Amino acid sequence: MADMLGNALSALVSYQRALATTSHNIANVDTEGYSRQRVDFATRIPQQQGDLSIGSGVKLSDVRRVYDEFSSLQMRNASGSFSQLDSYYQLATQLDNSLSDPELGVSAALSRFYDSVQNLADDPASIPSRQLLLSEADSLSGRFAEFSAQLDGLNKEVNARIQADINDINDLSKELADINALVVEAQGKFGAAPNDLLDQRDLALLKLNDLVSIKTVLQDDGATNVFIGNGQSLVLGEEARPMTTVRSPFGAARLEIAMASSPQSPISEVVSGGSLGAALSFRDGLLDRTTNELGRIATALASSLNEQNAQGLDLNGNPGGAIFAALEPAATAATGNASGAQLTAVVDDVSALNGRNVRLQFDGATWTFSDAASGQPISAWSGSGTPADPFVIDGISLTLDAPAAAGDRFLVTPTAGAAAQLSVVMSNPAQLAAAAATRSGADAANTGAAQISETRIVDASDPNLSASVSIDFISDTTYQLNGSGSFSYTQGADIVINGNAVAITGSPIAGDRFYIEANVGASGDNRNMLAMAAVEDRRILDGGNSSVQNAVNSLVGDIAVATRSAELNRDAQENLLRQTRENVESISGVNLDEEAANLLKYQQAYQAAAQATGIASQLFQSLISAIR
Amino acid sequence: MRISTAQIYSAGLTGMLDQQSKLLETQTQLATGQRRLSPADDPVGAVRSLELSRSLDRSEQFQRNAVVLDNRLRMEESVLAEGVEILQRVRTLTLQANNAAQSNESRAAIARELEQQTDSLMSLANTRDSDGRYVFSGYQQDVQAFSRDANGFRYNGDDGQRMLQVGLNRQLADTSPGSELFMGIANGNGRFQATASAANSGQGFIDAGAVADLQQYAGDAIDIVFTAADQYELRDSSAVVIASGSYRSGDSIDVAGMTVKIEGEPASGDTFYLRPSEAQDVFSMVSGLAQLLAQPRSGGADRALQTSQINTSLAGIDQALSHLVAKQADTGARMQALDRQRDINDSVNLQVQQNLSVINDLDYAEAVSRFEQQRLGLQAAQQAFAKVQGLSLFNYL
Repeated sequence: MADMLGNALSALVSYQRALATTSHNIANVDTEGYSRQRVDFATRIPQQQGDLSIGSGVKLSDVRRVYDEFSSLQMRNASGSFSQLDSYYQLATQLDNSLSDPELGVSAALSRFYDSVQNLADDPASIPSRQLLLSEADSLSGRFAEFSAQLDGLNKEVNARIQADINDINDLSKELADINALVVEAQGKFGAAPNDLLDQRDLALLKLNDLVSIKTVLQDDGATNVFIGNGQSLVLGEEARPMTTVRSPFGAARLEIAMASSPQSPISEVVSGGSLGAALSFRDGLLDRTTNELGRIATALASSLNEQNAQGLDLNGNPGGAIFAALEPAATAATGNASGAQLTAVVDDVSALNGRNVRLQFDGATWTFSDAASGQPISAWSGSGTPADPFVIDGISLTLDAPAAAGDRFLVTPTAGAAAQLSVVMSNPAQLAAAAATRSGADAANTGAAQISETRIVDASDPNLSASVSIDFISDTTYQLNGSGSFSYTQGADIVINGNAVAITGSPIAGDRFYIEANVGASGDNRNMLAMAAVEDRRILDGGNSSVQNAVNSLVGDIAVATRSAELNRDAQENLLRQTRENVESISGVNLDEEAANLLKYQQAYQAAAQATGIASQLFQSLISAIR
Repeated sequence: MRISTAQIYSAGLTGMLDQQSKLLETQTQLATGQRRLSPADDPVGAVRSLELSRSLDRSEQFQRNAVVLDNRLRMEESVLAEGVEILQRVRTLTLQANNAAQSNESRAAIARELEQQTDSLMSLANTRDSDGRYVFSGYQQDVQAFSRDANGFRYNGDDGQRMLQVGLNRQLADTSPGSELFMGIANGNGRFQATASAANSGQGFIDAGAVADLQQYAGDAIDIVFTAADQYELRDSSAVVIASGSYRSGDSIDVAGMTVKIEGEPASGDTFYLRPSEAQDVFSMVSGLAQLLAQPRSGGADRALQTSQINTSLAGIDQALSHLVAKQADTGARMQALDRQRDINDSVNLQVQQNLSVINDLDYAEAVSRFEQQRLGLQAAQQAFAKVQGLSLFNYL
């Protein structure tokens, strides 16, 4: 009877605990990161009576969480990748959306600008047309400035995201260190850690991995160590190592990340993954590329239009001045350079400009040039940095104002600031040079049937460009230039003099006179405006392969493609994440129907055990009454 | 496979959210009529659309340029037409004046009218546009094209002629400069001018002549000198006699590819000159004619001289007429070319618009049926969610 009572009691206790575990499962059905728990029953050690062993009831051998290490790790990785791709996609979408309105984009402003050039070519003397051109130029530079401000805003947002991510990482590191302490303590006392603590730690690791890619190492004492980048430790046992943000040595507007313990040298380049990795790679990749490319377009636009305007004559008969302010590249010395030498950069060749930023490093003897984004060394450069022999790279020449010291670093951003700086400096519309520098003419008394073409400027820098030239036919087939020499006449061939080219066609007669003269008073001449309209199609970028409009279109296309592929990657990763999460859920998730069934099962077993104690009690009563 | 309760819930929820976001996208497409909501939806289409938009803007600008050019060419044409009319009037007046019945007074009246016609021509040539700029002074639109002073008529402009861009690879010439329209007209018969010496005492007069043989004609200067009333010599520029002949009124005299007729009774010693034409402006021609007619004439010698002069001038007026008509035809040809170019631009425009529409515009029929499908899908997902959520063993405990 004692056996029976003991057995029934063991069952009562065990099933009570089983019911408690079931209700724990039910209670945590919505708890993030919770793994359902199961109870394992086992028989107690039987009593040996003679050669018989009598069962001595049940015991709860284990309460364990249903958990699969491999699936969980798979989900952590999938979640980290998704977090990275999703963050990147969010940032790229913002960039893409800023381009989406065709009426507000740079492309539309360019189009209106060139239309206004055509408009002025129709009526070159018209002041309203000139005014319109200047105001379209102004709104064009406004579009560049606005776009560049949007890029700047994105840069600020990246900084804010980096800062927020670092704060979250530090919070999670602290939490992990605390959980580690509890786990180590529990393991020391009881030999095993509580299931719920392990779930919490797994969840914290998952969240941390969503912020930045981590590696974990499980120690024997139960603590998990966490590392990032190429081995920087975030959590070591019960200690959390905080991270911090530092200003870039090449500019305060850029945040880099570092471990908070000194020397706080930036580790941005080695950290990857998660939303932090996404913010960094977006900034150093797509955002920098876009900024540089936009600046490159602005530089090409300003220099080509200024150059064309300088070739003509304005309404007052003076050579055309600059329409846009000249755009110069930026070269920054790193804070902490030993020499204090400054680098000055000048654009030599717009067509050789490249969208990349270049880093220069001096080791005391040789200079190393590398791509700032990828870190890849660049071999295509020349010069020694002195004014007489400047460094030349990507169409830019760089001059040092003082000798550099070993360890000095410089960053050259050829076009990063150009889009923001694009501005119209011309205020007087009369200064737009619509007229060509020279004109040609035939003497009114000519009797031959020959005509002279318009002058074409082949060398605008010729000092005698605007000097008068007379072409006198001394016979029907020979002519003199400025009254000297004797040249034989070839119909339609270029006669080049003082940077001008003209061609005479038809049959001149001895005594016929043609002339080239300065194009003064030519308010009706539109040749330079036509040339300026043709700048639109001139392939001045990429070594003569693309026009400004081509470059703008490619920029829009590049961003759209990058955003599109970010979206596709994100969607693919989302599906993968969903699958791995379902996998983990199907292993570890709570099913309420299952728990209800367990409730019934354990309840019935408990009720049966209670009945067994009742039977035992009755047996005892029967025995007592038999004796009495 | 085992399924957790959270999984059932989240599967249902994710389904609904997905359906909703698709529905919203279609709804936005329907609301805006745009196929592409951001460049990333179709990067290739986005770039193509930018290129096509620019082509469209451009060809619209070319059409605007063409309208400007068309207006200017119309103006040039009407100025030339008016010039032709004036010259025809000048011609009629000159023929009248040459009539023997005219008195000195009536010729002077004709001369005055010719002066007025000169002024009319001048004011045509000095036409200004709506902004007050001179249309026919080449590039120098701010200076008056033609002016008149003691030395005659002067062109103050230049030979510049603007081109306007009316197509991607098509420039057409704007208004011609005054130097081309009103100047450089060969006087006389266009090749040479036949004149009588003012000192002639006989009553012979010469016509304007013509080039009979272009092969032989080399622009030689020839003097026809009468050695007797019925004998003449032909002398070249070095006064060397190259031929001689006997004169009969109305017979043609052929020399060095030229043929002229002398009529009337020349006297011995009378001289007629054949000289290469010179380039002259139309104003001097008409004005010169006016001055000629203003001079009173008395006696046969005067009349013969004036007749010779009128003959030559009249030939010059004819040259000017055909010059202006040729320029008018030239302008007409440019206007025709412009019309063709505008047609081309229009069809390019239409083509580009169609392409743009294919790239940018929503196919409403497709989008509406997609919308209906997605709406149905969302409804089904919602119903399924509600039904599944109602299933629980706890309902039966």
